[in-house]
Amino acid sequence: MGKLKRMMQILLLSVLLTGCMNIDQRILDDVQLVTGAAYRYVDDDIIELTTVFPNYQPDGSVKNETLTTTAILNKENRDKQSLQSEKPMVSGKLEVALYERETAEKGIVDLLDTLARDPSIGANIYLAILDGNPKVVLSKQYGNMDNGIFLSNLIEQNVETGLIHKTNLHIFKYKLYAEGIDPMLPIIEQKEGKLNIKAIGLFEDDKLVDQIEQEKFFFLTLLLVHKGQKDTYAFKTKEEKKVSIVNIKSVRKYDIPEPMTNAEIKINMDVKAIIREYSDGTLNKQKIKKIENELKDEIEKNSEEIIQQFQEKGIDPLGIGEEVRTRTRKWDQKKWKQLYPDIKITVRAKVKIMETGVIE
Amino acid sequence: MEEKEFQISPFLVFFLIHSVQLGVGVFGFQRTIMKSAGNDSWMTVIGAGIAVSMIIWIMYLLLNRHQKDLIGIHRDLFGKWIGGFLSLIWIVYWLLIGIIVLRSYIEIVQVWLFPMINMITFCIILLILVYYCVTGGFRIVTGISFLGVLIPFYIFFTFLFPIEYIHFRNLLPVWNHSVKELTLATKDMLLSYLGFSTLLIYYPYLKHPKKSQKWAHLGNLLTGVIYLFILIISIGFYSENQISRHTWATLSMWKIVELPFVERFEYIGITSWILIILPNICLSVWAATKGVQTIFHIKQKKVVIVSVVILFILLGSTVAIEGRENIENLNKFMSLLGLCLVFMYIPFLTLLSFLLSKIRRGNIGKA
Repeated sequence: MGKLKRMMQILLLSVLLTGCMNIDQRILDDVQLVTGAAYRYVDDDIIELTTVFPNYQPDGSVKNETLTTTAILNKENRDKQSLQSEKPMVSGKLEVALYERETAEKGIVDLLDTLARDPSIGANIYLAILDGNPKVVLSKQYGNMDNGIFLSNLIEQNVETGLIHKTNLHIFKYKLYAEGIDPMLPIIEQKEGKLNIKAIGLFEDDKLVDQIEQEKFFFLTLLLVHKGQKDTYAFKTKEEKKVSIVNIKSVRKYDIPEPMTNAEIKINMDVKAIIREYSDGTLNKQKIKKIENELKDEIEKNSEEIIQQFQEKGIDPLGIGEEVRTRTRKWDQKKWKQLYPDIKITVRAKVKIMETGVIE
Repeated sequence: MEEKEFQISPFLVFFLIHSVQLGVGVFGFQRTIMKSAGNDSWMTVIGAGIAVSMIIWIMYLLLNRHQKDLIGIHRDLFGKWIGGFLSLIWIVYWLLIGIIVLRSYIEIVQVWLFPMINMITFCIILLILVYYCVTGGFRIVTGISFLGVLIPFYIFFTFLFPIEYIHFRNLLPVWNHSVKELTLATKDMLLSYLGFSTLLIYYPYLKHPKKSQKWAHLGNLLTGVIYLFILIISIGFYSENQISRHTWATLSMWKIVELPFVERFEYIGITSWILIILPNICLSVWAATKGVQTIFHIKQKKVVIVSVVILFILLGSTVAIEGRENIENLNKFMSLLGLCLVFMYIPFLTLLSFLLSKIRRGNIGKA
């Protein structure tokens, strides 16, 4: 009996002690869940932060709300915003972080610190560049949800369907700190009252230096991933016939016979595609053969153009440097940076059209 | 040797060795070893594992000869006073393991989950559980080790989430670091395996000690495999300069986990981890208690008092250590002590034991 009594005492003690743990409760209804944040330098060291959060209406709809403040650091901005808000602002549900274009051109590594240091922010939030004033763009409502979720869905949907490359905070940081690869982020603009992924921004270290336009997304994703699928492309053949294709399986392989020298680097691509739209009636073997050949030329030409563009700017979003680094024991980042712009990089593609849809 | 009813089956040594090796070190071991060995650091995990296996073999050599725990061996070889003093150093070391594990764990809770948490209350609740295990005897401690390995094992599958983002190419090119760099990293890696020295004190509690050796090696192997698994994923997941920025690289990997029912997986991971560190604390506290009890010939009835005193020391010192820097310094001190005791003192003691018995036998022969 005595033993049981003591056990009960200990049990009671543990239960009661849990009340003394001094743990902050955060009840969902009592906090303001920030879903999006946009950063802009108004001055050299004054940051303007626009945060987006949902306001749940009694009828079940969601109203988009924003707050904008300026301060020297982001967390101070958050405090300032809390002073304007009925509930404390918390960042655990942050889905997307936007950087205004000019800010991105100045460099965003200092602004990333607030995301990387905070344990409550995930590594899979999306980063993007905003072409336009964040305060103006984000205060408008674009869907039946707040803009943070909307932008996150917009990017996620396009990554999953293969139209743009895989991107998030972790990938950006990986490429930022890795030797031989530079980061990329989607650029979003407001166009005729809608949000639109306009281009892919290319970075040198943490500064935006260049961009790839929508028309060339296909070649970029093709070049970027070792094994890709789902990206689409439409083009005009020499005979003015229009074809739209879907890549169902592509394999990209590097052929680097002499790494860390200025010897030629070959990129071999094996693309298997299906035709999903064709402007000239029925397809037959000869026509398919022709399309295959023209698509092959198209891929080779455009890919080499893109690579040339990268080399001129001295940036390496494809990670060619990383491919070289993992193939040699003589890796030297500085030397590679000097070599890179002058190396001849050729693309060889093999294209096979597998299917032509349900009609011939 | 202890009485049969207090002894445990030889295969349980597997859990005892493994559970005490794996603690909070898993969260951040990558940074130190990758600083010197980079993408080749997976070799150092294997190297250190083999070194530890050799030390376990030496320990068994020593223990099998004497059929006693370390404190008995010390008394045999060095007499009551010097032997007792040496044993005390070991007791301090075991206690330090307990303190470091508990403090590092609380630090993680403070940084990742609740910065304002009241440490004293948290410690008391945990130490009540430890008290229950330690006063319950060695069989209870073994049971906790067994459960502490099996129940939270699912947690290692969550490290498969990052695979989506892995660049396996980062492992290449193999062998682009010098032997010196690899040796340095292996030394750092050895620290992550520490804790298995508690074998020296629970040896008399093993039913067929000679049969248990194989299980001890297997336990060490499992630790090595887990470290290797996490390291390879980390090398692929992070770029080399990126990993040096993360204090707890393993924990940061959980930031990528996305589940429909939980936004931040760390909350589940870190709380589950308490089951992994519990055997660590229990076993080290038990070892310290047992050591004190044998040195000072304390009766079984009064053991409770010893363990309470030890737990208060644990509580006091855990609460007293504050801040990243102090924790790091204590960690360094403990690592150095552990390295000296386990990798230098144990082989030396074994050698001495052989030599002394030769000399003594020689003397008897002459007489």
